[in-house]
Amino acid sequence: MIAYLARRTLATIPTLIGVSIVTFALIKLVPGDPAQAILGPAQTNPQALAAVRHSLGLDQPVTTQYWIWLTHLVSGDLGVSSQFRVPVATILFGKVGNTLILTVGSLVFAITLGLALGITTAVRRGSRYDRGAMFLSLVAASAPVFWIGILLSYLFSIQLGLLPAMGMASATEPSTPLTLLQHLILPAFTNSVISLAVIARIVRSTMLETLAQPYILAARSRGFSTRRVVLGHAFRNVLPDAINITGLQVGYLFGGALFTEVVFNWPGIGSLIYNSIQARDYVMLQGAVLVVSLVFILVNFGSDSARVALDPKAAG
Amino acid sequence: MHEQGIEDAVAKVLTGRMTRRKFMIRAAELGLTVSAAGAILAACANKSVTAVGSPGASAGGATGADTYPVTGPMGDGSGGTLILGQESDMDVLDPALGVGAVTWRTVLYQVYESLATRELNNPEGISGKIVPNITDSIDESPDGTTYTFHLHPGIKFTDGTPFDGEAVKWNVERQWDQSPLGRTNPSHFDPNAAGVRSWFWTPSKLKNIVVVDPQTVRFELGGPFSEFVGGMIEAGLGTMGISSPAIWEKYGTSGIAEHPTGTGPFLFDSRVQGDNVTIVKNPSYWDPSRAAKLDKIIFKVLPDAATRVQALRAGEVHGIFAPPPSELESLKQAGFIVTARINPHLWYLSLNANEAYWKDVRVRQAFWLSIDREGMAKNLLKGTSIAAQNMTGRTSAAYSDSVQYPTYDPDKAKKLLADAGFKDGFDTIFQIPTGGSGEVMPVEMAEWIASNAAKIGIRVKLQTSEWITYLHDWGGGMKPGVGLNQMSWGMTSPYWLNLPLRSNGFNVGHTKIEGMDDLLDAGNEALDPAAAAHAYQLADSLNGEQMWALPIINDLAPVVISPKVMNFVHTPDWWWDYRNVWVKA
Repeated sequence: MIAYLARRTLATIPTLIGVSIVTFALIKLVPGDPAQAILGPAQTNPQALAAVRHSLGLDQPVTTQYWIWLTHLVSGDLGVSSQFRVPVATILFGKVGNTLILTVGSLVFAITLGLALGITTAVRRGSRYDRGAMFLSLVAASAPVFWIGILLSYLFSIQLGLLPAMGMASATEPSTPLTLLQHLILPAFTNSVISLAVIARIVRSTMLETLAQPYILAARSRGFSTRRVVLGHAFRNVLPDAINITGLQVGYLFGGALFTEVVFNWPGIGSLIYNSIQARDYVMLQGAVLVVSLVFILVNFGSDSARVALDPKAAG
Repeated sequence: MHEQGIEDAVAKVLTGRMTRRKFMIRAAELGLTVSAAGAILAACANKSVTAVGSPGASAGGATGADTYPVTGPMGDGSGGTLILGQESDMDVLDPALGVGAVTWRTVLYQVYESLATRELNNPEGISGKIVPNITDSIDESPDGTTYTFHLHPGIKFTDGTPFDGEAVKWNVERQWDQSPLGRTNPSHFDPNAAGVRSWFWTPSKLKNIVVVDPQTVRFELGGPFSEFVGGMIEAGLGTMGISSPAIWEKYGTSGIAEHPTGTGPFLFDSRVQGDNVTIVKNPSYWDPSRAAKLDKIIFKVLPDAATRVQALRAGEVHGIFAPPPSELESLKQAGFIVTARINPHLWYLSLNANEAYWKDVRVRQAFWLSIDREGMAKNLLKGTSIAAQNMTGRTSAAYSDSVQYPTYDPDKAKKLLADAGFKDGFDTIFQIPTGGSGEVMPVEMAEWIASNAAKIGIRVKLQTSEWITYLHDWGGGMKPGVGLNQMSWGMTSPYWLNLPLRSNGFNVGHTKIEGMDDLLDAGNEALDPAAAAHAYQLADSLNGEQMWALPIINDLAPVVISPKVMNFVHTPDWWWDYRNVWVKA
């Protein structure tokens, strides 16, 4: 077990490096650089453009730029954002916290609604409810998140006026856990939709398999209520699969927050990534992508370790 | 006497004894009319062109849009928290590095002050008037080469350190690249700041900054530069805000943006990137009679236009910038107030001189005549813009309605195009951003222009890209195949004309307008303000004949506010002064 953990920990390092190289290379393919973003129309002065590029180190070969970033990173320095002129780290940490709040909120929706939907459709297999719910979950899983977000915000905020349309807090009133919760509902649900559908489908199929087992038939023949058979007997065997798939979804919920955050103006790491791409803020973007990848890797690492702890064979 | 002077000058030019540039300066000094000087210029260039317009007495025009008021409700009072929804996040909260108009009009202008500014809180007239700020007076030497600023005594930065001549020198040195003068820049020099301000400090011919005593700073120039004070106000889209050097010593370069410290009526409080910046009243402002009335201002970042409108309706914010024109009527009916005002904004096109079809001036004029700018302002933009008359900022002392480019005339356009041999028109590409600073509705406006041009046979194909990608293409100059592109900027200082028109200005269209650089130099170097204004008007008129840069509209920059907001005066410039505003409970 310890050897497995050590091996896995070491393996995350090349993954992180790989992710940062790909990110760095991708943004370089887009026209425009931070110097041009800073100068705007004044970039028509070639000396000015060259001087700003030089001050940002953009006149160095790409490999050198990457190396400088990496060596600073090792000493805990994520660099200075070109769009705000503030150290990246001071901005990043607050944003990670906000995205974690959104991720937890989405997870609550994905788990509760996913399980409820998966179980009830399995129990009422073949019914109109089952077919309707499975069709909807297919549509939801295929629909773009920003589209769902805009629809929900239009309906619940603009038409019905029930929930706030954007942000984490009201500008006029002090922020309380209750106001945070109100602001969280729409973005959290929007962000959860795909994971919710995935969990519902997996739970449904596992539940169907389980319900076909002889011991379920035995339990039914003893005259137990359907509720007791499903929740008391079958659910226990659905749980490991449900936990496994949920673990996988956490990373997606965190990384997938980008679209939701942009639509709902949620001040998290997704909005930050979006704005950093718009401003060609390479340093900020690298820091943010690194953090997202780290969370993704940590969550996978956690769920794999849990699996290994339960089933040592999986350590292989 | 004048006539004699003109005849002499013309004779000298024609016999080669006077350069065209000297002639233009002389003409401007003699008060030659725009049309007369234009005609002489044309004769010198041996080209037959019609002069545009006749001389204007002074800057003119209405105070604001006819459709919208300049102010909200006025009245005595104080206090409250003002929350304003902004269309984009603020960038660097450092006066030497902040570039976005949003950054300036929100935080920087309230926290930092500059040596001189323009009158922003006067609701009357078109103010281009320069007023001293943290200075008591500014002296200009008769030869136009030294400017002495007498600083107001006893002012302290909000960190407690004194505002004095050394602080002024330090702030200029941060953004003024002295390497072209063969000197080494001091350690606080910032190449990014110098890059952003490169259009100003090097052309201004600044040579030395002398701190005469703690209250007196002298700027010595290598030659006269008529817009030295006016340009300094514009530097980097805002005024040259003076920041506390002690902050830099304590926290370094990136520390200034984290701890903005000036002398202004407001203090920086907090920032959440992507969400808001909060500033609070400076309780010990140096001039109590002009202290802030508000307790606090929150600038809320709301990039989505529909969200901004929703936040205003829900009472989450007291005002929104960049409202969608289509919502203005219904917001007014809901009790909100829409304010707007003429300001230096200009949305203009540049043509690519390397494309063969533009070589004939008639083709350029035909394209210009085909564009229905009035219709665009009225119907597409719902009166939130007005048709531009020329390239000069409408708030500028050099602005004159008499410098009026030819009016919309599609029939004449068609004829000109046929005369130039393009009876069946031609194909061209128009590069345009999908959005960006001051861009209004670029794609819809470009579509409007394309459909106008199609009526005379010019087939315009749009090529859109996102803002930074667009800037990348724009900044590199138009590539072969691209016929035209677009930019939004403008300044109250008439020095602005150097940027879109000069052969070594932005020059994204690779143009070289015969005589243009001379006229601009005449304006830049004239000692008498009236002569400078004249020369700039001549330069603008020359473009009005040659049509390489096409002024399309001036945005009135509407803002929607709640009736609770008192003393809100719509600014006549890019930046705002909120010190008189207060909010009713």
